[in-house]
Amino acid sequence: MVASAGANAGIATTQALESQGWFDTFTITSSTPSIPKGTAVTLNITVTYSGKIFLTTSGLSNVYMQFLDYNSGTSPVPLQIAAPGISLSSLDGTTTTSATLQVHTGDVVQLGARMNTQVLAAVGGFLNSEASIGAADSLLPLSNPDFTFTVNIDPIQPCISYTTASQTTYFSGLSPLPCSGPPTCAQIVAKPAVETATGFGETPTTDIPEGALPIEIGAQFKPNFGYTLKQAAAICGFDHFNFQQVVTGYSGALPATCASQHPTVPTLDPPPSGWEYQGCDNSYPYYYGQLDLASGPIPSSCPLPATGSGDPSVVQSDSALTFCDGPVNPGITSGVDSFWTALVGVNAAGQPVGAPTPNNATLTPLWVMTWTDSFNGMAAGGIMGPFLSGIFSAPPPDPTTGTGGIVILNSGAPLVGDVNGDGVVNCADLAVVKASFGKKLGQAGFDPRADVNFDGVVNIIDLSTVARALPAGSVCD
Amino acid sequence: MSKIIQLAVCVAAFTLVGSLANAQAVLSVDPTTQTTSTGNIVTVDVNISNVSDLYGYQFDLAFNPSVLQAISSSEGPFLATGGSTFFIPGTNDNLGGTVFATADTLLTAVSGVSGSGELAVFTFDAVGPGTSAVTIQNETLLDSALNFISDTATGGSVSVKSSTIAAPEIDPASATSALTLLLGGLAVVCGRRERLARSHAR
Repeated sequence: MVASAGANAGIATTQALESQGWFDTFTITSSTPSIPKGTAVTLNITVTYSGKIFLTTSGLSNVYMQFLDYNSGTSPVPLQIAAPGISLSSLDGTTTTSATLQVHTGDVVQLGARMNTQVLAAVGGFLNSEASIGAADSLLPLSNPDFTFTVNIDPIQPCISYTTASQTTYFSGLSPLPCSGPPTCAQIVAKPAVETATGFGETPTTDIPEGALPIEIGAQFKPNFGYTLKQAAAICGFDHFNFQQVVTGYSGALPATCASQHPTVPTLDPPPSGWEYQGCDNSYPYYYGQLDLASGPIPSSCPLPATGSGDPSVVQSDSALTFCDGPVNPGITSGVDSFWTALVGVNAAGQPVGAPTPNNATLTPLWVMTWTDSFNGMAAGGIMGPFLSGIFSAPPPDPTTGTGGIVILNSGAPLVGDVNGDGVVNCADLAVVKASFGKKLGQAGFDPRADVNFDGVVNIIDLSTVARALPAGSVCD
Repeated sequence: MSKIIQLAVCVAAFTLVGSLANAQAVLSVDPTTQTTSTGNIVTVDVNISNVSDLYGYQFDLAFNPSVLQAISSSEGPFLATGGSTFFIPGTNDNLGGTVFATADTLLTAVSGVSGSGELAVFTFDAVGPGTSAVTIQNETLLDSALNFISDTATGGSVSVKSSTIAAPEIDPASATSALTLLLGGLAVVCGRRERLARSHAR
C-alpha cells in the first residue's frame, strides 16, 4: 500500500502506485441512533488515473481499473458495485471514472483497486492477467514509471460516515454531509436519481413500442436508507404503503359488469375500499395482474423480481412494494387509455391518503408514473372471463392479438403542473390546459393530462394549479 | 362596564359586522343597463369589487343571442396588477348565447390581488331589437392558495332599438325654428290665396 495522502484535516485522498494496487477496510457508521443498523448506504467511488501508458498489443486489448476486492464483511447482503471499472486503450494524462456501491450501516467491507489487463495473445485466445497486483505493469512496459490513481469515497446520505483500518479518509474534499436529524419521509420515499431495474421505479424504464414484449408494466418501491416498509410508513405517518392506479382516460365504454363500481373516469383502481374488487377487477379490462402474494406467485412474465414473501396485497418483502399490470383493452379503436400509477400512503382505515372517494381522485402521490396504453389486443388464451377465477391464472397480454404499446409519460416524484410529463413546468404545460379548457370528460378535446385534479373537467383550478407552479419570472402568451 | 370597554366592544362589533359584510367578493356587469341601436357595437365590462387575494377566475357570460352577438373578449387591467397573467378569452356560443369559460390567472407563486377593478371586457354586436340580460354564470374565484373565494354576481342588461325606422332627432330649438318657418310659410301661402281671390273678384 502506498497511500500518500494524509488524514490530518479529516479530509484526504489516497494515491497508490499502479504496480501495487490499493485496498482498505471500511466500517460504515452513522452519527445518529435514529438511523438503525442495516440502513442502506450508497457510496460514491471516484477513481482518477494519472500517467502515461500505451498498449503495444493489437486487437481486443484493454487496460481497466478493477475494484479489487470488495466483500460482504458483516453485510447481511452481498455487495453490488455498479460500473466496476473503466476500459482504457491508452492513457496520457488523467482520466476519471466513478461507481456506486451499496453498503449498510454497521458493515465492515474491504475495498480495493488495481490495474488489470486483458490482452489478446498471438494465438488468438485471451490471456487474463487478473491474478496478481502489478501484473499490468509487467505486461505494460511502456507504462513505466508507474502511473498513479487516486480514490475518493463519499457516502451520499447525511449522518453517514466511515472509518478505515488505515485511519485514512477518502473524502473527495467534501465533508460528510451534516447530520441534521433522521431522514424525513420525503427523503425516505424520494426516488433515487439512478433508477435500477430492481430498485425504486418503473419497469420497464422505457416505452413499450408496438410489437415489443412483454406488454406489462410494473412499479416497485424500496424505501431509502434501508428502512423497511413498516419503518418508513411509521415515519411518514401512514399505516402502510400501496400502489394506486388512477384511470385518467378511457377510450371506450366501461363494461356493464363493473359500471356500478367504475362508474366513470377518472377513477381510482383499485378502489380505496380494498385491493380486490370482488372479482370485478379481473373483468375490468385492465387489471388482472396486480400482484397479490396472498393469492399466488408473481407471473413469470412479469419483469419484476419474484423473491421474498411478506404481507398480503402487493407487499413483496419487508422492504419492497411491487406492482405489476398487463393492460389489455380490446375495445381500443383509436386513441389511448391513460393512467397514473401512484405510490400512496394508506391510513389505518385502509384509505389512500388524499383520496376520499373513488371518483374524486385527489390523490397525494409520493411517486407517480404516468403512462398511456394503446394495446388493443387480448390476454393470451382468450377473453377476460376465464380470468375471474384467479388473478394469477391470467396469462399476459398476447401481442399477436392486437397492436399498440405503452408510453411512459413521466416517472418520479410528482411534479405539480408538469402536465405534459417532460420534467419541467413551463408554458407548454399551460398550453395543454388551455387547449382543453372548459372541456369535460367525454367531450371531444378533453385531455386527461390537463385535468390536474382529476375532477373530470378542465377549469380554472387546473389552470391556476399549473400557473402557480411556473418558475418565477415566467411569462406565457 | 367602563366607557373604554364599551367603546372597545362597539368597535369590535362593528369590525366583526364589517368583516362579515365584506366576506364576499362581488362580480358585476358594468354598465348595469345601456341602450343602443341595432348595428352598433356595445361593450360590457365585468368588474369585481371587495375581493381579497384573487389569483384566478373563470365565469360564463350569458346573453340573448337574438339581441346580441358576442364578438370578442379581452382582459381587464385588475388581475394584471398582481403580475404576469394568462388570459383565456372564452368561447363564443352565439347560438346558445354564452361566452363560455372566460378565465384568467396570475402566473407563478405570487400573491393574489385585492380590491376592486375590471376583470374583462366583452364586445357585442347589437343585432336585433329587444332587451338582453347579461348574466354572469358559473363563476369561480380562486385565491393564491387555490382555495375558493365566495362571491355574489349581479348581471345587467342591454336594450337595443331598431335603427331602420328611427325617428329623426329634433331638439327643442330646432323644433321651434321649424315651427316658425312652417307657420310663416302657411301665412305666405294663405296671403297669396287671399290676394288671388281678391284679384279674381275684381
